[in-house]
Amino acid sequence: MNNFQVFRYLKKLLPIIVVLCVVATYAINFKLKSSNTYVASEVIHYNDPAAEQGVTPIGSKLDVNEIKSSAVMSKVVERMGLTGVYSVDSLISRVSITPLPDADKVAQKEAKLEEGEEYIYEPSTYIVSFTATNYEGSVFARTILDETLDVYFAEYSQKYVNVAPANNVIDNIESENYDYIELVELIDTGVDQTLSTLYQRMEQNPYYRATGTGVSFSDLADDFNYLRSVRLSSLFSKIYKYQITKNKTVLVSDYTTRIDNNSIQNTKEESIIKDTVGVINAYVEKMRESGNTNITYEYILDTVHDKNLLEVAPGDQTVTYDELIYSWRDHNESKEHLIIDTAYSHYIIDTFSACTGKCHNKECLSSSKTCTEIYNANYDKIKTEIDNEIKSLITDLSTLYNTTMKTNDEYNQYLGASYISVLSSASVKPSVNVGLYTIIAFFFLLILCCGGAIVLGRVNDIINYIFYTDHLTEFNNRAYFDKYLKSMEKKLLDDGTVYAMVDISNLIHINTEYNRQVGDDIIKIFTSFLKEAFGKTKADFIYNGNGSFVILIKDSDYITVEDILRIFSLRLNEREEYKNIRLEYKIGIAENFRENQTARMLLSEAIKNKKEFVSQII
Amino acid sequence: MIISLLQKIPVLIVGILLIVGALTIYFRSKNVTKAEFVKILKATKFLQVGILIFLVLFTGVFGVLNHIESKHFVSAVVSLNYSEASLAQNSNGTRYNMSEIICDEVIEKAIEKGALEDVTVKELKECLSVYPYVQGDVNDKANYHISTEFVVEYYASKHTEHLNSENVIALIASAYKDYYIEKYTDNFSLTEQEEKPDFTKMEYMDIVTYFNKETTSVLNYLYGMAEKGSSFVTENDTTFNSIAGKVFQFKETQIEQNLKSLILQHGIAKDKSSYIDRLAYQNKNTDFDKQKNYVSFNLCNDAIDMYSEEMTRVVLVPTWDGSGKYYMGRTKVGVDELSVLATGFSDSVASNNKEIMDNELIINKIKSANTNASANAQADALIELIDKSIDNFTTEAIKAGREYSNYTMNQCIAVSITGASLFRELKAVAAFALLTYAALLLISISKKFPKF
Amino acid sequence: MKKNKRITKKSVRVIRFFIISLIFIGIAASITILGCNYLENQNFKETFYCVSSLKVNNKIRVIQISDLHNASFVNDSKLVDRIEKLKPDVIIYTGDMVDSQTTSDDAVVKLCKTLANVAQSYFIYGNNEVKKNYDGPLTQENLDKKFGFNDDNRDPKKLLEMTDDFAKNLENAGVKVLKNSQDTITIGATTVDIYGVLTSNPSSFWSYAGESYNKFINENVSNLKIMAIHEPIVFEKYTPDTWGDLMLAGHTHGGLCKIPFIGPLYTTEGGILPARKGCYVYGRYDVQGRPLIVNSGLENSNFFRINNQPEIVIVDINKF
Repeated sequence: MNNFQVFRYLKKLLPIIVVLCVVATYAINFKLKSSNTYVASEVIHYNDPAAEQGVTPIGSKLDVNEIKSSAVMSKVVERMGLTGVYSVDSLISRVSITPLPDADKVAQKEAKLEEGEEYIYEPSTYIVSFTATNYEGSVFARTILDETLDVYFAEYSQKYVNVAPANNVIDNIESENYDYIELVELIDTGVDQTLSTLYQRMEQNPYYRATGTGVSFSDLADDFNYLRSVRLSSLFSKIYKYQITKNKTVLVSDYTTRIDNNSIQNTKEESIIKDTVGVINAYVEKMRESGNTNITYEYILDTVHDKNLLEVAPGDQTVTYDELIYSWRDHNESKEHLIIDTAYSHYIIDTFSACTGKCHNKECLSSSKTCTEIYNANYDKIKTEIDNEIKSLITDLSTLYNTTMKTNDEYNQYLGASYISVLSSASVKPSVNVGLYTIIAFFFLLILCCGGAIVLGRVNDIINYIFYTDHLTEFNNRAYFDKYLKSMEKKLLDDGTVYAMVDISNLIHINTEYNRQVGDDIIKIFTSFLKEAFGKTKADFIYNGNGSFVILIKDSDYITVEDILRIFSLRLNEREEYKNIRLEYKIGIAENFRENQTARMLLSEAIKNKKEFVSQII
Repeated sequence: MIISLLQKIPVLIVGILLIVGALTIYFRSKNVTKAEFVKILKATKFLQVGILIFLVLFTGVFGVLNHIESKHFVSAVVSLNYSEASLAQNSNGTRYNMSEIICDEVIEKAIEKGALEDVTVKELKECLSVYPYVQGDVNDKANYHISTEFVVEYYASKHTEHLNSENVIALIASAYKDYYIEKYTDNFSLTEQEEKPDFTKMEYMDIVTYFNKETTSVLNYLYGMAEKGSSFVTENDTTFNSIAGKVFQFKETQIEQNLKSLILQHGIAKDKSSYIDRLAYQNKNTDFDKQKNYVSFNLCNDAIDMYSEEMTRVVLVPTWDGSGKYYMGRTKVGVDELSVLATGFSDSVASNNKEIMDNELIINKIKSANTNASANAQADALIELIDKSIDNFTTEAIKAGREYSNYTMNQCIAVSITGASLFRELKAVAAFALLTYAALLLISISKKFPKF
Repeated sequence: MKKNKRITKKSVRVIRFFIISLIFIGIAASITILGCNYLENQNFKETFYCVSSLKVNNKIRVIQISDLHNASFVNDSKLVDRIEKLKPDVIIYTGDMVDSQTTSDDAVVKLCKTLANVAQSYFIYGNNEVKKNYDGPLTQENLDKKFGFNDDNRDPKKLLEMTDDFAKNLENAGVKVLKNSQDTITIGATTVDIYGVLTSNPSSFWSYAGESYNKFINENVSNLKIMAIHEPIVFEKYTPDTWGDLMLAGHTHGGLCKIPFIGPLYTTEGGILPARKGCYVYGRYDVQGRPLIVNSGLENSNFFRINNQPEIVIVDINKF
């Protein structure tokens, strides 16, 4: 059997090994890449101390899942122009939020709980991640994550910090066909509301100045106040002074109706007040009778209500008696304010109905026009001036409102970023290290293929040895020769192919006369001398059985082979073993040179060319 | 993109030659012994005319194509230099978003800035990518990292290959800087309204109100800046607080005392009757508010009176005061709340009263005064002076603000552009030359082996 | 011995072959480079710079055109077209737009007139304009000799009283010519002072331009100060308390030829490899904390202008 030669096995299958390795590695690489995902992650931290109690700055429960709420995601989709391309839910499902609890605080919490004490701790640091497919890429993952957090920070601030927005109530107000006094009243009310919102902002952060608008809330409040105290009050006084109205009758009717409504409301309030007083008195009396008004220390609980009781058992903790008193106060206040409002309505009616004395025979009293409208020739001009002033005022106020909205929006973003900080910017990692795994796969496949080649080669050697090798001579056997001839049936031999046949003619005689062992030894002698003679040539040796050898040589010629076999004969004659035994053998040589012969043809020729030889030394 | 394809052709040819040469040697080496194999290798001529000519030609072609192709790729590093960058914030305290570097608005600005032709925002955006220069690791607290440097890469596509790549990146960086400055840096305008009102058409007291508003705006700005940088000293050795002090003093003296007093004492008004009517209306309005506040105040007191003493029971609670000293607090009952409300309403009533009294004073002064041209002229002159002074204060405040901004912004954003590197090109050409030489040599050697 | 002779003969053949190949490659490469360069120089490039100054209240764009030397771009409609599209606020010509070898300056005036419709334009004389209109370089020695001045009685105004037709033609075309003088314009909400230097020779700069320059620098300090000068050598020679907020210069033609890894090859004042000697040759420099931009110019007829494409410079000025 052939020796175990690793390089021979590898060299034989080298192209297949290389191709298989490359193709398989590429396939693995492709599969890894296509199933690879990119995960963008960012670490955020809620700075408000209340976050560790699991609550927002306004005391409601902190729900970090709002980061991936549809309210936030739909804005992200809109901002990135992905409407119609991605559904909100498909993006939500790819966002994950992982808490990062503080180990010390967790240990503290566990220790406290073990002791039976209550300790509330919720993580305030989270990893927010977004997963993108290989096709979408790492940039997509990072961008979506950034936009999501941008929107969330602003939403968080709007919802839990900067709660009350400043509303523009005068938008399109001129188109509603209000009378002049109603219009300016509405503007005044709107400005008043805006100012109270701005004052709230100023209390929170007196010096905040938006970069987009360059103004602070204080500047805006001053501007609104200025417009109100100068231009709006000027308008009011002109409207009163010149009794400017679109329709005196409608105006008077409107305010008369207000008076009537106030009166009815007043009656209702009085009734409620009366009943409330009754309840209060009855309540106190009952408390007194039951002896519950002498509160001593035994009536005081040892424990103090939990601050978070509002969440567990939501509801106002104000005692009933205080509620009754407040109710009495509130209804009384409503009643008194209605009286003042009625007085105001009377004032308006009187102002617009009054006769200034300049019209003739007080005709204004029964007219649908005001006195000034009747007698003052400049009335229309004044009215037009007031119209223009109102338009100008509304334009300026609208500009201020826009600035306020922009400032407020930026303030929201600013608050969002101050309440939630970023501890680590968005970093993107592939879920699989494609390069590394590809290299590992390549080397693994290489080892596998090489191992396979070695195994196949050795198995081939074993099979060859078992089935195609003659064990006596270690030459290829008859089966091998048959296989060879079959494979060469339809092929023409190359020029320079030489077949040589060496047959031991008297082998049977030797076996009979001496014994089989001697016969085998003779065969072995022939084997070794043939090997020796053909030495360096690449000859293929076949033992056909019964002392018959076939030698197949390529790239040679008749004369060379003849010389070799002559040397063989000489060597045989000089043998040391079995000198006394007469060896009769035949040698036949045939060469294919420009004759286009097949293997069988050449073999037949070799058989024909057989010559007899004898070797007997003693 | 044709260039990109053409650049790959020489590489492909060389690759094929390499493989063919290697395979030929492999298959033909089966016909020779190891010694013959070594002999053939030793007999190889390493300097052959044919090989050298082909080498020069191929390398030349590849070199030219590579040079043209390398001009299509440029990158830049955008560094955020302002202090808030390390908190992942913009300079105005809002959250920093890296995607804005190549957002549509920036690209549009860049196209406009460079007057880039035959390219749309979408086409250009497809050629750009941005990522942090250094990424942290969210899974390891020690490796948390806030990125302040970002790499912007531009790789020309067939739609943009007619543009100069270095210019494109420079324009993107410049447009982003403009965008950032507009959106996130200090505005240096103290008011949205840029046009000054016409003082000749305004009432004198309204001018006083206007001046108060303007000086309050300047003071507010200065106090805000002082809060951020109280120790910052300008080129003129002033601080925000020192300038604010000057403005406050000016306001109290020139506006409140001098101008207002002059107007009040001489009853100066441009249209007395209109102004008096206005103040009268204001008083009427304030009076209604005062009545409501007064009513609310009284009701709170009545409620306190009504509160039965038997229902007021408190418990003393040891606690701390605002300065950290022990303090005996008590539980609150309804009267505490009512008392606080009452105080609030009382303050409102007092404010309303003061407002009414102030207006009445002005009305009385105006009514009783005779027309005094000299006083009017004095007031006009003082108004002009005050206006100029306010302008000067505003300029000084903004100048100080700019200096502070310059100091904190530290140039805001710095950009460094890495264009086509000759060294990189030479490396590629040298590598290609080596590969080509190896391939040609292998082909030459393979021919020396006997055929099958 | 025979073997050594054979080896030596073989080595000589190889070496000879190499040298011939290298020469051949060298010639081929030179022709290719010069050819490609010539084609490249038929187009100009646009170089963008960003400058920051807190004095600006709004973005300002300045386009600088320099050293045209009446070359092919003077009639190039693409130049006008691009400048129109770039929408500058100011156009500044930093000299040598004409060539002293060319008789007629009409093409240059025509170009300036066209561009004056795009934005406010300013013209500063270079050595070629000076040569054509002042009979020689404006050194202190020449000027003192011409006017009979010395250190005690020198009057810079005398130089400015001299007029020439070229300046008149430019003024008629709507271009302001700045000869040791300044102009103030308002761009948006920013006031800008632009100073143009006539006597850019270091010997005559302070003596003839010093007074007007100091006035430019020291008055209205809150205005943005742009200084335009033809030769940048003045910045190498002097270090006053401050130069302008932006300095624009030309003259050097970018050092004629830019050699990779080595730098610009040659300037008249700096000699060979001037950048290595600390000269301001091309690009952006920081001079006492202020930016100086040296334009390589639009001249493209010089065959040895290699790896140095003609350019126009666009400077965008903003707050930071």
